[in-house]
Amino acid sequence: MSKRDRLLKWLTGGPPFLFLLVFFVAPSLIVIVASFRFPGEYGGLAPLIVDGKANLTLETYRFFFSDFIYARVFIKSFGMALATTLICLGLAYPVALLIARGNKKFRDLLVLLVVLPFASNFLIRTYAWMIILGPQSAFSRAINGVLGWCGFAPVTLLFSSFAVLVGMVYVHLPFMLLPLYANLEKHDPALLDAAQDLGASAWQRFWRVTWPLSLPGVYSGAALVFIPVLGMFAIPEILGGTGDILIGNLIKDQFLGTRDWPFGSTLSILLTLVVLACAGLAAWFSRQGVRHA
Amino acid sequence: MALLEIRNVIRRYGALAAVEDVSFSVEAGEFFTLLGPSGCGKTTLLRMIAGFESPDAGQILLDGIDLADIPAEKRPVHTVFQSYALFPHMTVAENIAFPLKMAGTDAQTIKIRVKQSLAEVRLEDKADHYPHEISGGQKQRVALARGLINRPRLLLLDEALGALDAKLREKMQIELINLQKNVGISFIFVTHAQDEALALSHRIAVMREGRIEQLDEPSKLYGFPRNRFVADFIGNINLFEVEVKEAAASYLRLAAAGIGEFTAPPRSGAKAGEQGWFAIRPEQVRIARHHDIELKNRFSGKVRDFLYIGDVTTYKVELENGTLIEALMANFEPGRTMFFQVGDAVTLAWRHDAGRFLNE
Amino acid sequence: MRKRWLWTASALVYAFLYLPLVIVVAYSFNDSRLNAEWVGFTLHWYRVLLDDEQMLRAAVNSLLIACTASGVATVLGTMAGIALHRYKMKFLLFLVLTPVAMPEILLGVSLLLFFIQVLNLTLGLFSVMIAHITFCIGFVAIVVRVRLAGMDESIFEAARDLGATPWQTFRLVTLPLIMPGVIAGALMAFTLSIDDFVITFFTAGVGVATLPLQIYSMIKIAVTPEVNAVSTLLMLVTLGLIVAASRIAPEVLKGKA
Repeated sequence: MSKRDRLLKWLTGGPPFLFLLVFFVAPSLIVIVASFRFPGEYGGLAPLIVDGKANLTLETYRFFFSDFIYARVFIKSFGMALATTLICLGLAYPVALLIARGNKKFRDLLVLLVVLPFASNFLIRTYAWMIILGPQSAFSRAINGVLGWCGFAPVTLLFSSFAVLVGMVYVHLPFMLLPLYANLEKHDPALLDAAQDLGASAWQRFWRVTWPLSLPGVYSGAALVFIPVLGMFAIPEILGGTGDILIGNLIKDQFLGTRDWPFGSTLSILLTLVVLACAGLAAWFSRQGVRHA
Repeated sequence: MALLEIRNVIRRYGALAAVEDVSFSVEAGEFFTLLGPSGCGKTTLLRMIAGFESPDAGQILLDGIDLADIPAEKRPVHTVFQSYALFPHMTVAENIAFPLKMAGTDAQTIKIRVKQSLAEVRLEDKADHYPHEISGGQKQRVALARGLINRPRLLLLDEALGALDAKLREKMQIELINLQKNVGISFIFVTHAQDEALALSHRIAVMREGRIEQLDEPSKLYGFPRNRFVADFIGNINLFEVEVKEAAASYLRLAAAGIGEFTAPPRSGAKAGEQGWFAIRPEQVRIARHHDIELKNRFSGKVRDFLYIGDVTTYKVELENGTLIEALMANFEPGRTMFFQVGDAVTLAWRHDAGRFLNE
Repeated sequence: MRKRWLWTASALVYAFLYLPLVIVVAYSFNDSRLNAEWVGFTLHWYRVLLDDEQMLRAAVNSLLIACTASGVATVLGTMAGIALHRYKMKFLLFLVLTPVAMPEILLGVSLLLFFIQVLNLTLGLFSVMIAHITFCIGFVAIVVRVRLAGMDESIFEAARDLGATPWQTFRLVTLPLIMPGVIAGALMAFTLSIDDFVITFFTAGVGVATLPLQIYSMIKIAVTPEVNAVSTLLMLVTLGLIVAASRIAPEVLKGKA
């Protein structure tokens, strides 16, 4: 590349690069270092250099692995993320399929209709479920009425894992739907005709043609749901009960509650590693899928 | 002094050599074509002349000046791209005016020159249209007008007729020749279509795998190909293996296994005992049931197949040793598609000075 | 007949998507303190909203932050999008996408640490703006890059070929052609900023409130239909912005994924 091109490259790419270096990379490094530091006297972090030596320790990591309850929170979050992803997949797939197969004129409109609820702040959407699942709502009373009629005790829907799950699914559904739709829209209808022509039933056509081809979209959507859910804290806080603590809640408490910043940093690092592992897995899976396609 | 001089230019991509030690020159007012299959390096050469890529070695000289440190926008060389690359957000007139604007010409002059240019390509009524509103052929002409308006030293055309259908292509070829003659600017044309190259060019450089195989006028390339590649690439050719029995000053005596000996035009440097190929164009091979005795080069065979394309029919004849020879015959009787049936016994013959011996 | 199954399933999902929001909006007009039963129509809660000083200050803050953040992010994001398309800088791509792909809490936490430990900065409007810019850049960059990828590359070469310097090419050819993408990206960045909760939560500190933060504290402390009212208004604003953005550049919807 010529000298002039190189100059242009850094002129256009330089400023955003620098900005992100300072406000993204540097803070990330700070967190990594912080996870090895001691907590300060009144919260926060202890000084990095004490008497000319680095004031570092592996205490926080040891602390994490010493008590199983912390790992259990991770596992619980993982489970919640998995459940959310699977339910989102089940709900989003039929809709994405319908829009993709449907009349060309309506496609953009239908996609817009899916995205519009997303326009509202996710707190609002979470709050909506507070109303619906609250004990006074029509919905709750109807459910409890049916249960009572069947002989069961009334059940509180709000402030439970169920409520958190519903909230998570509701907030993240569009994230699963859009990549899925983007993928399904590109499918060549002639493939299904060919399959039918060669004797495949409706189920077989789905399972052997549509589903495999849609896998890249499924993986994208899954990643876009799974990863954010892992880090969520607001939804468990608003819709969940005292037992519904997820990683996000733990981290938030460390930074803004107990002010044990090193431990909070450790939790963040561990969460990051889990996220990277999942992203790597998803990428690996999608590459496998492509080979079979 | 030649207008453009390419001296020992080399361009490599990693281990792959796109252009390998190429040298040639282009004269003023010439229609010069780089012809070859895809991947032969012709487009790479063009881009180096335009300034989008730099040679790894060698020099490119325009009017005697080395272009090495001159960026693309400062070179008096313009390109017509295969996709035409018209600016979609500008009208036809604005597109054509663009080079003048870049050169800092005043608005009044621009207006006059654009009007002239539109008249030159017969698009006066489309001045305020946008590229997506005009046809392929019209886009082609806008691209040409845009490239020529400030009279560059050289116009480069990269497979410029590639996107047009056959009839339109023929029309544009004639327009292109006339335009080049009227404007007097040198054109360097890149194509893989040999018939187009033959029709348009003053000279053609046939390229393969980064090198120039032969640089000549169209008729010389067609009539006197230097090797099998050029012979086969340009037009249709019959090729079969022969051995030189006798090499004299005014003729060659060649022998083909299984069918006998015949006379061929002389070739300097050919020696008796040398192995090679004999190349002869289908239109030089006469086909008949019996031939006049004057044509001493004659062989018998059976018609295996034929291809009727309206004005001529090509017959595929199998000789006694199994070689298939194509013979072209004009259909001078209207309504009759062929004179020979499949399976007919025929005689093929050609003049003693037809065809050519090739040793590579 | 399989279509009918698809239709019912989809209808249910759409209902699932919209019903909760309809309820929120409906109850904002409900003449009752509780979000339980419909009593009567009223605009009372909207009036309360307009008198709520804290809420109004939060709204002003949100607008201020969104305007600044989306402005800066659009400029930086457009530069990044062009650089990514033309020069394929893998590392820049990583830097640009990761803040968007990672759980927001990680970015929020790291910026909190960075601001306090390293810069010794009091958290406030400035820290929130910086945070918002960081995660908005990626979005604008991707939209611009997608737009560039869909264009005939030879157009830019043609401009240079005909005598335009790189700056002239950018000004006269590139910018006009990517403008719809840039505007759409700006609108979406504005939306993302106005709606953001998690990152703002960590970087706003004590004194500064934005609309989402205000809504959050209202939900946690004292729920009244005033929350419904402010939610409805906020929804209308972001809805309008998204519709506008998708009109200008439809690929924004695909890019969102």
